[in-house]
Amino acid sequence: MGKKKKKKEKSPVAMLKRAERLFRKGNYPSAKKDFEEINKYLRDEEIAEKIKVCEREIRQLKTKDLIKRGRKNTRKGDLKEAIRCFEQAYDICGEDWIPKKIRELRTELSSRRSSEAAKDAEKAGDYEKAAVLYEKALVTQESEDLLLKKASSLVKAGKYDEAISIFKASELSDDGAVYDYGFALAKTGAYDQCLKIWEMIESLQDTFLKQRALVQSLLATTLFEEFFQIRYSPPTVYGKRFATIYEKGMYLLEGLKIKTRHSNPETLLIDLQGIVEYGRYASIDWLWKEERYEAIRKLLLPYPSEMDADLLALCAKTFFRLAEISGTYLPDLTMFWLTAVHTHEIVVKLSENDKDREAVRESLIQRAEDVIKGYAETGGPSSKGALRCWLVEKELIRDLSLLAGDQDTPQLESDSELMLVCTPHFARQFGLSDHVLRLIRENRDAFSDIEHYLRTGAYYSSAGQSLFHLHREEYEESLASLPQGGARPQSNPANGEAEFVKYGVERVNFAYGLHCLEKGEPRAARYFESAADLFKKSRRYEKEFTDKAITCHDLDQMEQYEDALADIHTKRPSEAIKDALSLTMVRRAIRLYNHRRLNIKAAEAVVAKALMINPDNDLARSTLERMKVDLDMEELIKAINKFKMNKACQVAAKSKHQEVKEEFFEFMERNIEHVDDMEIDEHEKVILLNDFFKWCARVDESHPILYDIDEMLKELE
Amino acid sequence: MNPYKVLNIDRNVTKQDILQAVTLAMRERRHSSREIALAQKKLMNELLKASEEFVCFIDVAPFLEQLDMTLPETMAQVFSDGKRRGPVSDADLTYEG
Repeated sequence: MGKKKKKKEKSPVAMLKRAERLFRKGNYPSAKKDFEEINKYLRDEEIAEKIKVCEREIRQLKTKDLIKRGRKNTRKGDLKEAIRCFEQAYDICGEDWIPKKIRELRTELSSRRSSEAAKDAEKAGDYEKAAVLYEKALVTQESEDLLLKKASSLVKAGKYDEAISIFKASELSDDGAVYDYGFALAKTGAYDQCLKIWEMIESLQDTFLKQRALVQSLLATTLFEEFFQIRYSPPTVYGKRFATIYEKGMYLLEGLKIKTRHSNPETLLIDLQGIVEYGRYASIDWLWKEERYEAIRKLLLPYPSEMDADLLALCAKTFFRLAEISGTYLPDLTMFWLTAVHTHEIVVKLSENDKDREAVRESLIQRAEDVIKGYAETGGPSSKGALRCWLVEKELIRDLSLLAGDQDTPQLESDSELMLVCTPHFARQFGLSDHVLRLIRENRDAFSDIEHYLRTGAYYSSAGQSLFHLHREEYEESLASLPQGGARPQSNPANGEAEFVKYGVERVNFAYGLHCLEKGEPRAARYFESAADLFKKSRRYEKEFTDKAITCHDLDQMEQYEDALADIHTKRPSEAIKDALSLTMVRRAIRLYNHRRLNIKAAEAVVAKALMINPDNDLARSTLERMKVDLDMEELIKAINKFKMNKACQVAAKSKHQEVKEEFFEFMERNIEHVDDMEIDEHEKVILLNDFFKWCARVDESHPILYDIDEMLKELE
Repeated sequence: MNPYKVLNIDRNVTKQDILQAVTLAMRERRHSSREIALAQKKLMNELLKASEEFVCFIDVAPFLEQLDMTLPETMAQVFSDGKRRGPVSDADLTYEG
């Protein structure tokens, strides 16, 4: 059951009490009503004042409510109603900020109306008017969307330049705007730019694809038109225009490679390729005169799979100029320059007679070498490495030149069209390595020795890159780039490079092992496992290794050299290896003995072993002798110190070393000298001297000390 | 240093031309006397000149000559009477947005 509604008390006191409570609670409209009712009778000033407070508060509440409604309507987009609310609020409170807000809303309302009007104009096909109305809307409303709508209307109205300037500065958010921008560009003749912009559209719509194909055709037409206007002019006069033809033509060719059902790429491609190529070389001619070699380099890329003499000469000259400017291009200079100056078609143009031709060729080689040397003298390790690589490649190409002989009568008929006299890098870049290796194999007898033959082949084999890393002191890269991870190659691989790769692997392992030794890295010895095979091919490396071993002073390194030499000795007991191993063993044993890390007996055993390995090792022999003296001496002194004279006599008598005997007799002399000072009777002295005589006689029956003892005995007797 | 640029001459010049160019270069003073003298030395010696010629000049004629530069059939009608018309024209491009 609901409570019965309390009846409102109408007595003045109760009303006043209720009015006060409502006032305190902030319910000013109800409080005001009650206060007014009471004051009809009381006419109290204090109540009148409270009525005024209530009125003021009520006004404020109403204003707040209107402003709230105004803001809500703004958010809802009902600007007209929002303006009405703010106007009413202003009428009540008259606050300063409200007129400004009303003005803003009115402007926005006007802008919206303009925008609506623009849309209507668009619908009616009056795009020019639409653009004007969008512009009006934009005055008060900064909106990217409105800006793009204006630009779109301008496109439709045919005002392309204006539209382009808007699109250029805007962020193209949708395909529609991208299409419009591209269309405007196409209509102003910027077909290439149109196509570039349209790349952002992924649409496969028929109409769009059709239009793109049309713009491609228009670009092609423009390029042909431009080309046939200037084709008979010298390239240098219209260099820039040829460059544009090349650039735009290349772009178009790339685009035409993507076939669509609306383009007819085959015909257009063939037609275009001609003018694009012409544009490329005409631009190069112009850029050369402008000394813009870096731009030429870009035009030369990518290199074709096969290179002809004209292009080779162009590349060589370009990289010569670039290398004069920057050391970055030294490897390219080496590759192209050396090959170019050994290419018959290029060399014959240098001079009319053979002698002069050779002199010019040498001077050209020297010029490039001077450039590289300039960097090596002042630059870092990379330029020093570049010089080392240049010198190696220079020798290699000279060797090949001798093998190939006169290019008019090539050694290998099937290879007559190929540039076989080239550097290893050139051969690798242009797929000539197998042909060069064949040339080397078929001319094996022309090499001075087996190592010369294998070395030349190795640089052109798949191990060549690793060898060049060695010249640049890039040891890790050298090891890492070995074919099949450095595993020994199969005996008969298809391209016949096994023997060269094997040699390359041996060289790299050998150099890497030495590098490890010098850095003090442990386990260097394993890289010398194939050293014996390398030494068989060339004593140069054996000498290098043995020289390093016998001049080494670091004990740890000496140990590694000794291990490696011992291993090599089992496979290749050559005189040089025997010498080095024997010497290293002795030197190390001495050092260890001196550092008290090896006792004399162990040291003696090592030295004796070293002498067995190399009986001509004088150091081993003399050391062993010395050690034997030391050993006898040690035994003698030990016996004397323990007063074991019989033992001492035995050691001195047995020893082959005079020093040991002398040490014994010196000891005896010292004892004899002190006999007179001894506090013993004469009989005891006689017995003692007789013992001395006996001991000395056992060591050397003819030693003069015996006479001295004899004299002393006679005196005592 | 490019001696041809210093003396402002082309590759196919005679010794007489070189001497005249040296005199002119000395008068114009665009390069130092040392540079001019060096350029003269390089170009008056046949061997040095051959080396300089190789380094300073390129020849794109072989590339251009091997290209067939007759007007392609597809484009022939575009330029048949000096006026552009034919397979495609700007007017074909209509707004399809």
